Amino acid sequence: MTEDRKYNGCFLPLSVSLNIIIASLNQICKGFFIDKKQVLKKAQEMEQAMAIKTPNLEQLIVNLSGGNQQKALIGRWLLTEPEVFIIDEPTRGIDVGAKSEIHKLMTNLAKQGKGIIMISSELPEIWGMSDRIMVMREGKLTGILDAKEASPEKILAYATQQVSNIKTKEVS
Amino acid sequence: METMKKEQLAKFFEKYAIYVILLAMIVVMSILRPESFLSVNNFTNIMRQMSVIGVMSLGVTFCIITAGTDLSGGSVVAVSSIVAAIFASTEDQGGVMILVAILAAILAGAIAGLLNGLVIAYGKVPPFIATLGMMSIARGIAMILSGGGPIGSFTEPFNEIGSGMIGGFLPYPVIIFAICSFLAYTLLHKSKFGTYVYAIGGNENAALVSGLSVNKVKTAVYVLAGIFYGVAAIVLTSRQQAGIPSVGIGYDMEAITCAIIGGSSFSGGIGTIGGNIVGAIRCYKWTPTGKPL
Repeated sequence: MTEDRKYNGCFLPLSVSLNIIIASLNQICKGFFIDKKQVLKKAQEMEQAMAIKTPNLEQLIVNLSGGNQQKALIGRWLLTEPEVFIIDEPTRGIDVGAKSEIHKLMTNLAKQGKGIIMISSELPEIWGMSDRIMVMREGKLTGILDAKEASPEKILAYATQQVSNIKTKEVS
Repeated sequence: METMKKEQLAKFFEKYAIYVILLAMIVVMSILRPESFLSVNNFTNIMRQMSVIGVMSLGVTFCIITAGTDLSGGSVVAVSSIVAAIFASTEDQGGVMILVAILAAILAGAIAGLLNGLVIAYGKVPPFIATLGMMSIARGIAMILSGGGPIGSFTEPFNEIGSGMIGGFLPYPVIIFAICSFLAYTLLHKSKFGTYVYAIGGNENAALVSGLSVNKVKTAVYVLAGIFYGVAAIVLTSRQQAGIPSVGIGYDMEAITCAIIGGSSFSGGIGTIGGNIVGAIRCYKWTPTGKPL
């Protein structure tokens, strides 16, 4: 999953169904031709599973809201049946309602036993969603935190590399 | 209720406007010039005249949907035409050379297309520049192969391709155009290849990260265009009963015009074969008398 939906995520002038099935087309249709029924079935499955709000699947994806575009993209990768998701900035430029829906989707995926690596720069999102947090700063790993011990202060401290300050405070 | 109807009407026009306008043009012409426009003979002529450009524009449509373009059409047609003429004018034993001529012309087109495709897909040269270069190169090769003059005097069966008819009103070129259209339609709208073509045109970066072999598909698109040019060249050579190295100047632009009038968009991802065929019919020169030029 990309952080830049418009640049290398959505096929903007094309339909929602094509956007959903494009990455798994080879798995859906064996041989040279497209199996329209099968394609539609898979796309509908994802439309319902992701709760994408679109009048119909032939609607162009450019007409959908950012949140629904993002859901369609999650559907695209879900169809390829991966074990691990790498999701970059899942809620950038998305309204609050869709944000929580996408968070719910990710929680459900995790419950099904899929691994998710979420990359994000939003503190509340990281704190709320993660089991384990790796903090990076200027391309280098600066700290690994468990969800239990993590707090926004600690995450920020690692991100700004002011860890020593915190420790000295705790001591004193 | 009112707005629903309006929306539906708008959608209908968005999808079928080009067909409606074509129908309107035919109706208006029929009313204004019933004596010259409304005859089987005239329609036969229109269809026959548009079939060469029509076949070419099928290939161009594919290129334009991938957000590319192909300016080399006219020159590639000239090369294929010369190649076909060379084989078709040699001493013939039992019609074998005609088959060879046809295959050689298509092969020549395909090779030119392959070069275009490789340069564009793997060399990352913008399609406009790459095919502009091919336009000059192919014209030069046509001149060299022919020695600068026309090559003529084919056997009768080869001339038949361009001038023959079924039942006195359905010319062979039109049938060839119909077959090519059907093939193009199947490829673009019914095959996985077609879906990839749309995807690449829609967003090349996204296509790449979705795991499509973008370069292969792009190359294939230009080879396909080359094959269509080869077919167009056979029809053209047979109709003119000669291979002329300077033939087809401006055909590339007309073919692009057909595709654009047919609803394809230079920004990529948009266009249909149905629209392209209508574009080809509309591109044909409508004269005040209703007769072909």
